[in-house]
Amino acid sequence: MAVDAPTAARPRPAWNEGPVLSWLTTTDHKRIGILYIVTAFLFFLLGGVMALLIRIQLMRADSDFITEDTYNALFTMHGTTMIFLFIVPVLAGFGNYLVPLMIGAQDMAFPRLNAMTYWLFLAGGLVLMGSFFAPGGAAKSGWYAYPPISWQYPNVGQDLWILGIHLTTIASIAGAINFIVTIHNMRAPGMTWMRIPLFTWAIEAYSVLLLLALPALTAAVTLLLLDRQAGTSFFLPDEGGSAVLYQHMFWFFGHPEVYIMILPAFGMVSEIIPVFSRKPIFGYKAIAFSTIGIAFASMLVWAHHMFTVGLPTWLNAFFAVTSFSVAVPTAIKIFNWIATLWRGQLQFKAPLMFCLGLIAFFTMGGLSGILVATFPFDYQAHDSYYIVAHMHYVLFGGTAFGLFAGSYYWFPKITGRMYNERLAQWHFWLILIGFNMTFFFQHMVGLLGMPRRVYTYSRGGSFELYNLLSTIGTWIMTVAILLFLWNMIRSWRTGPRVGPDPWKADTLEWYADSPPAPHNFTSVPPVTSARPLRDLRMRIKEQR
Amino acid sequence: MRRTVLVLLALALPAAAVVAALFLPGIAPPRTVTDSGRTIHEIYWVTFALAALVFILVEAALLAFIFRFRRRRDMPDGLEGPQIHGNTRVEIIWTTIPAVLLLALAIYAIARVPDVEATPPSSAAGEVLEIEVTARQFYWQYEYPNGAISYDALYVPVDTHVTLFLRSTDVAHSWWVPDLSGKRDAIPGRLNRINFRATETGFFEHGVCGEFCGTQHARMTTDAHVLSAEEFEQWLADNEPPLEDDATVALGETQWAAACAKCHGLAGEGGYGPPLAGNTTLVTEDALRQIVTEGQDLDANPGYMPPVGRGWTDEQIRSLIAYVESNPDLAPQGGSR
Repeated sequence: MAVDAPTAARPRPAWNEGPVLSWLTTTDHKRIGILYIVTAFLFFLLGGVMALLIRIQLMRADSDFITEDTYNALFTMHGTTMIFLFIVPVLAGFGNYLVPLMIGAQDMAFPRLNAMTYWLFLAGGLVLMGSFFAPGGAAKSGWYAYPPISWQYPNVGQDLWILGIHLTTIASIAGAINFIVTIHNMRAPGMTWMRIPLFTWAIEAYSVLLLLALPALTAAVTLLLLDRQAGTSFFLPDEGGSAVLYQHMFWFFGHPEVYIMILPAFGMVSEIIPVFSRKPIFGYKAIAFSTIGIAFASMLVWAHHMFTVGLPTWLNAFFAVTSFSVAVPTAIKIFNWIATLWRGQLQFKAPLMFCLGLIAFFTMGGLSGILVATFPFDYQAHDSYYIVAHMHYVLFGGTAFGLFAGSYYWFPKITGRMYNERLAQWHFWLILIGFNMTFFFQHMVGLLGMPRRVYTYSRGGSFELYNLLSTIGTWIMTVAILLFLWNMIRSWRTGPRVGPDPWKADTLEWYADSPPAPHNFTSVPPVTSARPLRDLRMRIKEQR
Repeated sequence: MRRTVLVLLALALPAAAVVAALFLPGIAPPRTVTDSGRTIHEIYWVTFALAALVFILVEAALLAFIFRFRRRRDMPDGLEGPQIHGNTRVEIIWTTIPAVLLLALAIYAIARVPDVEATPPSSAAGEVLEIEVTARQFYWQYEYPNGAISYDALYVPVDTHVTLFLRSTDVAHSWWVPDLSGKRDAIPGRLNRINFRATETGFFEHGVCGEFCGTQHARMTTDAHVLSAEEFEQWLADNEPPLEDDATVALGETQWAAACAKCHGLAGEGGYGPPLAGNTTLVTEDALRQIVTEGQDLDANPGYMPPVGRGWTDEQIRSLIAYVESNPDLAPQGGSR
């Protein structure tokens, strides 16, 4: 009986060659990862432009730079874009690129499913962005689309929003399954659970949370679609439905989503700090288990988004206590990172700078999180700019700082070239100033009484001054982001070439070439600890 | 010696930042004139103090380590830090301390909740002022026990237990007057309540809708007047239906400002919505009732109008018409119902 020739020996069909077609047809996890990262970053720029328009409108009292409906669509789509089209997919991109390399695998478990998730995500993104051009404009009921307001407006944009969420959700669920199967089954020999890189731990938690939380969102927006288009009344009180039910379903997804968005960034920090401190991570197990602890607790805290709904006091108290309980594993992470710095040999390259920034500013977001979890205070802070500030300290001070750190850290691996350190340092300091200027004053303007999602306000004095400062902060951030963009583009083309391991790092992805060959590795060094590459360097040193 | 200086400096920097922040307006929620709001204020400061302490310690450690353990130029390239993999005792300590602190905070906050909820004591039964609040896109309607109505302005007496019953006839809103107390949602299909007792008289602006409720969410504001007992009794008596003609017109004026003007302009000149000055629907009772209870152009966008007067009584329809007819800018030329 004839045996099939090995796959590698088969001639490549002509239709998937060439600079464009090879990307369109790729099932290589690295290429898919790059597609994810680049596409998500483009959506980040679009979401950023929306934020800039929002801030220009709010720069002065009684401004009429943009109309009410435009404003409402902009903040709705800013949140939707940043969450569904930037953070979650860019993390999927880094996960895609890095996880197989980190665990010594040749690809993801299901390469074609992997490609499908990217194209579904892109389709979802195009639907959401395209909805701006629909009659009546894009959705304008906020990123959490509470009914009845999301049911009330008959604009097509809201239905397209639901379609876009469905597409990105299917992508994320399929991607999560792929990550879990890959991490469970394709680790290199010797890579036990207590030796996998902490970023991979974080992607595992990210994937499990996506699998558990996203179906609740899918169900909620499907029922919303039925209410809008099929005459049902799941969420319509006039016809016996419950508006609060949607809120429970949404936040059952919505709060784990926060940890879906932050845990992989934490994972990046746990990879980067040891390398630039020239030390092992302090408390590997504590960090790995705190990741699982955060993921578990995050499923039990959703109603802290609903403290003012009028739930029974004992229920509010329950959700306050569970929310506090998330703070413990989070604090453990912060303490372990700081302990990793202790007695290290700190090299203040951009990746470490952004990690230090994350520790400094995520701590503020975490602490203001304790404040708002204290539900009596939340009665004042809820749905005010205080929440906007808190949430951006977590997602920008946390996730975005982590992503910048990761972008610089893995840039040489992905491109084979080094980024420009001086530009990166400018990027760091400008983003530090701009970010704090934008969001710090929002704490105070919130407690002075500014609700979120208002297209205008009529108060002057410090109220207006805070808003003005916040707007100026976004311009500083814009300059910083443009520097980052320029650095990435220019260094990709003309940066100095680097070898496999420019940082003298610890994990397997640095064993592969920079950029890695299509099959990643021809061999994988034996894994006897969580730092196989350092072990290898030590062995080579001893043999000399 | 040098180490002490470093530690002190590292502590001083974040501490100075916290102290500087204390001088910023809005660093805390307002002290308010109610028991419940003051309790929130107190809980805030207790939690803030704890958070500030943690903030200072974490940032100080970060700053000190950044400075102390930076790699110096003269150090050899391959130099590593000590290969410390962790310390179980330290892990246990820094797991336990935050857990204990948070548990203490939770117990404290939950113990203070009764003062925030401010449920009127049973001894005060019969003396509680109960006000029906209806949230509609995009205004607040207050209805008092004697049938008096006010729009976008709440009137309450000082030193009296007040309970607001919050309802919505359209979408989710949230009642929030920061100078009185925290917020509470008004959600269709649900009856919520919020209690407070003001201990000082005063006029408080800056009440808003906390939950995004649509196009004019930003314009859904409310004032609050805390009056002396006598002033309040007087206000109630002046506004008790049936109203005299000029009082009806005055009520209609606030109704127009609250329910109509945010989209159609104070003089009906138009704005987000079309101009209404001179429109005969405004003075035709049946047509007016239909459009305010059912809204308009439900399938068109733009052109959509929410049912701003769903549940209005005949008196409310008439007070609006009375105002429109009294206002030469708005009244149709020679028109009448």
